[in-house]
Amino acid sequence: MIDPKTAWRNQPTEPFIMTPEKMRQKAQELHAKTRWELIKSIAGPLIVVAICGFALQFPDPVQRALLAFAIAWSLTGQYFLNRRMWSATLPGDVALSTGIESYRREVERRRSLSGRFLLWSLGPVVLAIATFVVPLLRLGIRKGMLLNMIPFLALLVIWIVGVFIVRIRQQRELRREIDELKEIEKVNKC
Amino acid sequence: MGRAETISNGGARQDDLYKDAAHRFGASLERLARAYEADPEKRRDLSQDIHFQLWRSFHGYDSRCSLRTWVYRVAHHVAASHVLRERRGFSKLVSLEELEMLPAKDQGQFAADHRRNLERLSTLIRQLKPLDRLVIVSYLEDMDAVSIGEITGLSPGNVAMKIHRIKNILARRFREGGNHD
Repeated sequence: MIDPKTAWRNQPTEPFIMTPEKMRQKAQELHAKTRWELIKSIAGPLIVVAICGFALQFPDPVQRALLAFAIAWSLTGQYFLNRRMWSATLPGDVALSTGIESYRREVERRRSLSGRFLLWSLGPVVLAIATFVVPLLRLGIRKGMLLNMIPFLALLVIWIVGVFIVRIRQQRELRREIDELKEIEKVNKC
Repeated sequence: MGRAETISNGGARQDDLYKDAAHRFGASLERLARAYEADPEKRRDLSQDIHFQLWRSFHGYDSRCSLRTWVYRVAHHVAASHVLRERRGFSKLVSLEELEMLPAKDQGQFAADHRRNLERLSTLIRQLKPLDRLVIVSYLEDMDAVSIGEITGLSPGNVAMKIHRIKNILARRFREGGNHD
């Protein structure tokens, strides 16, 4: 029988050490990556503002109020979604926590982030789209053009439902992982 | 001592600790990265991330645990976060208990080629959930149950049970004989 330990430990490795220059470069890369993440996260509010900017001309005050609310919701969401983005990516106490603790906390963080996305990013986008689409739908029914609108509406619904389902699945998966880890922690404390 | 001098000393200590850790555990860290990422390009990035976060973490090193425990905890955290971030196939990852029950297609096969055996071992490890990956990697790095328990937070009894399972799995999958390649 081959010894997996020997096979593992004898695998070729290249000596690797990060020089101070490389550290600085890595820090800059990390900074740039965070900035890019922020830019990407602004896509949601941009959609909301674009839709709302166009639709704010609607005469209905209820619609205008809803759109203004969607803008405010979306902008507030950016604060809640990104407020910790610039802070240290490695919590200071990681090395003082055991592997299971720090991993559980990371899974919890991911789950919370996924939940915040639904509330603060998808929520306002759906509200803005709905506020925009409902009057169009009414107009379509009145003018007998509903059939022409069906492909667009179907795509919209598929997209929203798809994003929602994927996120909910992720959340459920992470919840299961957290429960398992908590159970392991409980057993190991006894 | 002035504040600037204190910070400068702290920075020098941080650099020294990092150099010491990289010198002593550099090869182990590279092997650990192999257990978490198959793609060579991404693995290089992961290795760099581990080293960078390790260097950052030494700012707060207070000798409360051994250097090895510290290094492994930080490395595991960075690597596990990487697995979570990538998410591809996260739901397909299994625990050691589940892996032990799974029938292996290549059970009993032995490849004369060292590189292929290593590749199979790495693939096997990458099927595992991050916590079990940490246990098996620590075991392969020849750590004892107490050290593995200190790093992972699992009780020595639980670690011993997991090591028993690991030995079973490895024996079944890397047994010489059977269907030779």
